[in-house]
Amino acid sequence: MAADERELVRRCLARDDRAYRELVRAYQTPVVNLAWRITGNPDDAAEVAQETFIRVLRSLHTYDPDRPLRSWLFKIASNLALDLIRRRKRRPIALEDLSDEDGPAVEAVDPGPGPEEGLRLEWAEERFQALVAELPEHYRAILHLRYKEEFSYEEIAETLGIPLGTVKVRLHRAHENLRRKLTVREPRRGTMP
Amino acid sequence: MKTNLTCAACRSELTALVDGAIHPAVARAILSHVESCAGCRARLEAHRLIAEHARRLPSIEAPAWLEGRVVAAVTRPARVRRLARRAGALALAASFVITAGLLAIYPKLAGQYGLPMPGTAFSRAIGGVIDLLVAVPKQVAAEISFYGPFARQVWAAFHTLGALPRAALVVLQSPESQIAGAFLLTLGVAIFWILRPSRNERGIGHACLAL
Repeated sequence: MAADERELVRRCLARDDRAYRELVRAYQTPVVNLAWRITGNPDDAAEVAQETFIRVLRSLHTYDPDRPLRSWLFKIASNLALDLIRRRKRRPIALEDLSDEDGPAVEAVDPGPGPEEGLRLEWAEERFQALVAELPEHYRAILHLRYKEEFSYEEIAETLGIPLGTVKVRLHRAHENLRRKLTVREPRRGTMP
Repeated sequence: MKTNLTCAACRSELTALVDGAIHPAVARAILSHVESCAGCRARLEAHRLIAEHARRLPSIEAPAWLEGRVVAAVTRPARVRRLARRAGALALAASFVITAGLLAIYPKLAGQYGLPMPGTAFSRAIGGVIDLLVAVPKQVAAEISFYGPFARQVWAAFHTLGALPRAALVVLQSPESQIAGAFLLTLGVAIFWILRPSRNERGIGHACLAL
């Protein structure tokens, strides 16, 4: 934990209003974005972020200063966001979610028969975003932490409170899910469309 | 160079390879396999692109109201507690003045209008409660005392227990001692209230201790 972060925590513990504001300002964007990635709704994300900061500031005396504050914030935010999703039951559980994630990764099935050379990935930002939004929420959380926050697998495991192996498997499945949906077969030359 | 790594084993590690989360020796084996396998090479490229696109996913800004609402929610209870503490101290001070005043004039009023003396009624009530509390075990102990010296000791202990508060009540019979007692009690509570430790180490108590 950085010295300035430690000092900020100390000031918050001394109930310094300005320190509260500094802490919220420093972390509000990443927290809101993580919550947004999980909930898929900006209003829900703001609500989750508000609750996250209130909880963090009220229970700061229980915080272990040897751990990064960012991880602790993200842990609370992701738990709150996932709880919100569970409460609202917006999305039915996918069969893929029910598989044993601690076991060996199951190789994804290709969209159809034929060699890989005949396939190409169709890249469009909007389509990619839509496909990410379709992923199960805990896959979205891992994708966000890995690629937007640049967390290591170990940091993700600590933040989400899951084993390292589960992080690896979930991230790979998220990749495979996206890859399969983005894959389109090249039209063969000389054949009817 | 062909390795003995299967495509399935290679493909399950491609995401970790792209993320640099793999042991260098394993990475070398996978890359060696990828060089000789067009299918796995295409997949590795796909995973690289997915990671790249995931990094470019859009972000949103935090709402402007967030900071204010969080700070208001966190500081509100502290403000309420501070106000309650001040109101409590004020109420204690008022009760101290009113108690002292009432006790000072009540004996005169009681004598003038034939009211019961406060000390007498108070002592009687407390004495009754003490008698009730002590009577049952004392009676049991008295019954048992015929059968053993230990029970006799218990009986003596209960006698002492009843005697101590009664002695205090005798002292409190006079109006002067009642006023002094009420004064000291209220003063003690007020001093404790003011000097009690506060979490933020700010308050009159800490200022006094610092002096």
